[in-house]
Amino acid sequence: MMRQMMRRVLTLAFGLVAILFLLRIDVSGYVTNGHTWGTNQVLYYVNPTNIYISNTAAISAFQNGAYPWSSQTLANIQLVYGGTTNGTSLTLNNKNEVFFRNDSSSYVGETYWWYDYTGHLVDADMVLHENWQYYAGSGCTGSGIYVEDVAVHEFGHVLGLGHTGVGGATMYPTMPGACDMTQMTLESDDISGIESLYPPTSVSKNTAPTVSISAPGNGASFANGVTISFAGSASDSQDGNMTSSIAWTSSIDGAIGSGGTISRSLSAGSHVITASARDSGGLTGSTQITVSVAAPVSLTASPDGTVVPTTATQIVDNNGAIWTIGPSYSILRNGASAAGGIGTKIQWQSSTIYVYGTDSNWWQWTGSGWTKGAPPASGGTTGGTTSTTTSADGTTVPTTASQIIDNTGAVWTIGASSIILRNGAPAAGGYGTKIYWKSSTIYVWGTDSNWWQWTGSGWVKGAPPSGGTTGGTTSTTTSADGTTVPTTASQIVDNTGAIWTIGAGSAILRNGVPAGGGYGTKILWQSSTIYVYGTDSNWWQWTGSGWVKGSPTTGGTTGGTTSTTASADGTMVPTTATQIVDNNGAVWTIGASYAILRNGSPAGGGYGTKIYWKTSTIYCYGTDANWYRWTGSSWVNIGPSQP
Amino acid sequence: MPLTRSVVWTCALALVVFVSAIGSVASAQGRAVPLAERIQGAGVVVVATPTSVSAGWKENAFGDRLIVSRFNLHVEETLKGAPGRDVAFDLEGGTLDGFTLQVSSLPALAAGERAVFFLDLASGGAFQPHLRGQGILKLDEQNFVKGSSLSLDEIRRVAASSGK
Repeated sequence: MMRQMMRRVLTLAFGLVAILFLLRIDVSGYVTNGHTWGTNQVLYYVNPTNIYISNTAAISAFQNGAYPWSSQTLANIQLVYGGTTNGTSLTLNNKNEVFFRNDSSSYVGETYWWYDYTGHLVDADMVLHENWQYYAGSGCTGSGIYVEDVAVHEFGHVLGLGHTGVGGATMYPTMPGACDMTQMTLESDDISGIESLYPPTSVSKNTAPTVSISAPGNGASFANGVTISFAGSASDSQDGNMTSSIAWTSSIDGAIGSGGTISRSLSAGSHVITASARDSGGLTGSTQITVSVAAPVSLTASPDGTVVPTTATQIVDNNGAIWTIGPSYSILRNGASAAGGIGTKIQWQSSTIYVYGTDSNWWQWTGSGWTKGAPPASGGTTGGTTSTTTSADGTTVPTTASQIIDNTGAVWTIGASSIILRNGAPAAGGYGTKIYWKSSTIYVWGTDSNWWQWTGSGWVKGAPPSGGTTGGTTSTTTSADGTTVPTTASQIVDNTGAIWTIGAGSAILRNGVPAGGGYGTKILWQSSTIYVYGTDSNWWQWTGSGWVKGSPTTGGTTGGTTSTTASADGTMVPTTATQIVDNNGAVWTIGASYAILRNGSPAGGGYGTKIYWKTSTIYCYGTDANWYRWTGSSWVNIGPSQP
Repeated sequence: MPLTRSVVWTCALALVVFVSAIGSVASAQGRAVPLAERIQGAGVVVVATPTSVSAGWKENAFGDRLIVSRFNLHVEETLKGAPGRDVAFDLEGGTLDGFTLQVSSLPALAAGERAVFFLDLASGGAFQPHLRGQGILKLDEQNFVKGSSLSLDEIRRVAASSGK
C-alpha cells in the first residue's frame, strides 16, 4: 500500500515538474495586424436574421458588443451602428456587415477584414455560426453563447486587433466557456492594444449619444393614410438628455420630423426609420426600425345607388373608405367595425352611406357614427332589392320572390339549411322551405310539414287563411301527375303532403331536409311515386324511407313535364320566369345568396341577381353590376350593359 | 525509487493533450480541439513547407467572394495518410489587385514557413486546413509549435498512438 501511495505522489510531482519544464506558452501581449481605419467612426450594419433570438435582440446585442471599445477605452475610434442589412456573404464591398450563418462550423465567430495598398482597412465582415446556440442579454443555458460576448471579441478584429497571448483578455483566441460574459469587460491588454492603434486625443473622451425607438415596434404594418406615432429617446454621457433633438428620417420619405414624439403618415412601402441624435462633440448616435405601409386602395367612389350585397360586394365612398358586411352582419369600414353598426344592407346614395339595420331601421353614417335616416326615395331603392315597400299579398319565397318585406320593413329570406331569416338573422329558430306573406302575416311551411305563423317574436302553429294557398305555390295539394322539378315546378307535393325540392349541391330535399342521401338534378312525380334522376345518371324511386333504382313508366316524361325544351329567347329570371332551360336542357335558377345554379349546382362560382337567356346564350347580371356570359364552364365579364 | 516507463508515458501523454488543447488555437473564437482529435479527424497530417503561393478570387457556396491563396506544400514527413511529395493547399486570405484579405480563424501563411498541416481534401482537388486555423501549427527552429510548448516529437507520438 505504501509503495502505491508513494508512486502516485511521485507521478503527480513529475507531472508538475514536467509541465513547468515543458510549458513555453507565449504570453506576449496584444497583437495588432498593423492596419487601421482612416476614420474615427466605423459604420457597421447588422443582418439580424437568425434562428435563435429576435431580430431586435440580435441588433441590441451587437450594439452592446461594439460599445466597450469606445466606452471602456480612450481610443480615438468608435463603432457606429449604421442600420440593418440584407447581406449574408463575406465580400469586399466597402460595407462592414455582421450576420449569422446556419452552418456546421466549429467556430463561434469569425471576422474577415480587407485592407488596401495604403494599409488602411476598407472592409470588415463578421459572421456568427449558428452551429452554436445564441442568446442575448440573459437566459443562457448549457453550451449557449451570448451574442454580445463573442461580438466584442470580433469587433476587436474589425478595428485591427489580432489574437493576444494574454489569457483572460477579450482578444484571447478561445472563449473562457459557455454562457460567458466576461469578454464584455476589456482587460488592460485589450485597452492597450486598441489605444495603440487609435491613440487617444484627450484624457476625457467624447462618446456618441445612445438613441432608442419605443414606438412603433420594429416590423409594424399600417394601412395607407394612417397617421403613425413615433416615439424615442436619446441620452449622451456628456450632453445628458437629448430626446428633444432626435431627428427622424424615412428611407422613402426623407426627413419626417424631430423631437421625442412625432406623428405623421407615410407613403406606401417598406420604410427604414432612423432616429438619430448628434452631440455637441459632433458624434452621432442612431437606431433604426422598419415599418411598412400598405398600398392605397382604389379611391374611385362606387356608382350612386350601389347596394351591398345585392349589386356589389363592397362600396367605396367618396373618402375612399371601403364598406362591407362582415360576420354577424357587422358593418365594416376599411375592414373595421363602423361604430358598432349591424345591418343586412349597405346603400350608397347621394354621397351618403345608409345601412338597413337588424333593428329594421335605416341608419345614416355621419362620418363618425350613425343617426336614423332612410335613403332618398328616388333611384337607389328601385328594383325591390333595397325597397322597404311591403311585399304584395301572397308573395311566396322562394317561388315568387327571393325575399319578403313585411309591413314593419323586415326582410324575410330562407338561408342555408332551410333556416328562416328575418333581416338576415335567424327568426326564433324557425326552419322551413317556404315563406308566405298573406293578410299582413308571415307564414312558414316548416320542415316538419306544418304551417307556422310569426307572432312578432316567435312562432305558433297556424295555416294561412283560406285561399291563401292558391296558385299552387303554398298549396299542400298533391302535385299533378307528371310534375317535374325544376322544369315545370319548383317543388312537388306528394300524396302524403311532403314537399320535394332540390337543394344546394343537388341534394334531394323532402320537407327541406335531405331525403335518404339522394342527389339528383330532377324530381318527377308520376303514378303517385317520386322519381329522381340522380347525379349518377340513373333514375331512382322513393320507397318511403329510401331509394331503389327504378325508372318512371313509359311516357312519364312526355308532355313536356320533364322536357328539356329550351326557354324562349329573352327569358329573364326572376322577372319573366323562375328558371331558364338552355338548349342543352340545363336548368338555370338563382339560389340562396344569389348563387347562379345550373341544374341545382353552383355554376362557375357565379353570383347574380338576374339570369338572361338570349340568342342561345346564358347571361347573368352579377352582384358587381356587370353582365357575364356563360362559356360552358365559366363566366366572362362583358361589362355593365345588358346583352 | 525509479519511475517505471509506463508512468513516464502516462504523464507525457496527459501533458501533450492538455497543452495542445489550451495552447494551439490560433484563430477566432471557437472550441479548442485536442490534438489527438485533430489527427483523427484530418485525412492527411504532414510536416511541410510552402514553396510557392499564388492568389485568386474565388466564390464559395455561401456566396462569399474571397481571395484564396494556393500554396505548393513540399512534404518532408507524413504523419498520417499517403500524400505525394508535393501537394496543393488552398487557404482563404492573401493579396491580390491591391487588396489583402485576412481571416481571424486562419493564420497568415508565407512561403518558407514550416508547419504541421492537418489537411482535408477539398472538392477542387487541393487540400484545405482541417478545422481551419487549428489545422496549421507553425514550427520554430527548435521544432516546437510557435507560441506553445508542444513539440513536433510530441505530435509524432500522438499521431502514432492515434493510429495512422
